[in-house]
Amino acid sequence: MAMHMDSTLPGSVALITGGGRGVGRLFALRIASEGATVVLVARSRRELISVAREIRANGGKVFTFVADVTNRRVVRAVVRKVERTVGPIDALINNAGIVGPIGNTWECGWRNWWATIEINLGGTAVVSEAVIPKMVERGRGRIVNMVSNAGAYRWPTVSAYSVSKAAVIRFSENLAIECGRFGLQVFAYHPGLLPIGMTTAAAALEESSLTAEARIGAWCRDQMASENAASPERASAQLVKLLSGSYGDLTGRYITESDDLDALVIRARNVDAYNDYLMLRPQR
Amino acid sequence: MAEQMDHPLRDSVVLITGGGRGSGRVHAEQLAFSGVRTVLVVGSADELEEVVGLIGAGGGSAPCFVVDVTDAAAIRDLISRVEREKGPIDALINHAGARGPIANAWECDWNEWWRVIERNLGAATAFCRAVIPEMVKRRRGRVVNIVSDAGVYSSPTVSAYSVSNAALIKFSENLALECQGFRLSVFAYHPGRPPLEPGCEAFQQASAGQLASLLSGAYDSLTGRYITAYDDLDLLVARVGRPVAAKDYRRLRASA
Repeated sequence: MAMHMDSTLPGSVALITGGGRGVGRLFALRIASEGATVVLVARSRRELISVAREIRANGGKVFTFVADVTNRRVVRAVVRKVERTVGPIDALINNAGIVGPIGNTWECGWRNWWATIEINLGGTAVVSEAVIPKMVERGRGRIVNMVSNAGAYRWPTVSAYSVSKAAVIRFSENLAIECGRFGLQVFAYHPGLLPIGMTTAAAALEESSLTAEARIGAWCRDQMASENAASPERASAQLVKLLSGSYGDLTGRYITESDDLDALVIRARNVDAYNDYLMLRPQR
Repeated sequence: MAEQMDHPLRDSVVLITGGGRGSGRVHAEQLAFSGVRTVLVVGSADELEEVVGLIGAGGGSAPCFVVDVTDAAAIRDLISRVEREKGPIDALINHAGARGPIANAWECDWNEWWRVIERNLGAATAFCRAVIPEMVKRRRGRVVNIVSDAGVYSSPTVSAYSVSNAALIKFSENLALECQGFRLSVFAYHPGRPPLEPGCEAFQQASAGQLASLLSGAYDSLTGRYITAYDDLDLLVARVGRPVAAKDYRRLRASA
């Protein structure tokens, strides 16, 4: 595949959270194949070892760290160690997340519901806050926060997930403005419904005795069988484009795997009409 | 007051959190003076004393409770007690919240930053979870989550506030769909920013009036939408009712 002339990925350091499986694994393999040194952060040592082995087998460079993104002390220690021993972090992909409980909000366990907010929103904010100061000092860095259509639109009975992703989309937009003048770029990226990770886990809810879970499972299976299903190849190619440095005009925006980024850039430059273009907001 | 005669919420039990200060107190006072059976939840004994005094001085009365809004178990106990002592809660207004730190996100004190998420999103969610099961049983109830337009538009350097409000707007949208089948309505309401004097009081009264309209039942077709003090509710109803209207109208969404 033709690489962007000005791609900053070869030789750079990219940190991916939730990099042990699913979409995180997919992206880690792809970014490593583009020539970046990949730093994987995940809770499971076993999964980290397995993905690292795959990357090395393909000739890629990888480092792994066991950490829970909600543990701020550990996250900060990992980031310090990466900066010291691997090199300056050029790209951060906040991918760690969970689907959370399925059911009417008032029927879900509170602990699970709130844990979804803590991991998906809190984890993203904690890792960003740990990585950004050095990026600001260097005047360069890209952050991609993994989000979902469920946050841009809605997903009743999966409310903790939907709410956490809406929060991350808004966080990305604010953060992009805050760190734009230091040369950083921030994107909220929806990779589409991929036949891996969370979506397959949700689709497997077929046998659930809980109506809401069975309904969500059926919906995921339908979507994956339909033309709405995303392709892993296209989803990772879009991520590589976002990380390339060529789409700084789109910083702060909500981007999906099916968007034509060059078309979005042209529209976004029309500032008067599109100040809020692809950002969360209601119609007047 | 003339409106006391025919206030749509007369004899309804309305529980309002964060009624001890700011616009929450204005809304609480207006409800209490209109003959609504207002139950207040405030953050401290000082606030309790002040707001109970103010409402009493105005000729009204409202039972008032102090609770830590980040304590989900305490909230559940409080709601059981209110339902037992004051009767079924007809409407819940989630007003409690915090503005939080003002700086670039990575320069804020993390604990302060996260506390805003807990107080704005967590508290409203916890109150909804405590109140809605009983409303569902009765097939009757309305919830208004008080939000800010900082959750709708980009708001750098007040990120925790903005993010928590976006989350609460999205929560309201999901919740509305979940409980629509049980005939409950949920709104995200931005009470606006009062102008500096003069006009402040009139604006706040109008904003509280808009809130009462949402709770009246006349605008249930707007359930799940983001509504502001500046909106013409009848106009919004007309737009939402049009078959061509986008189903995302007045919902947080990305424009395609």
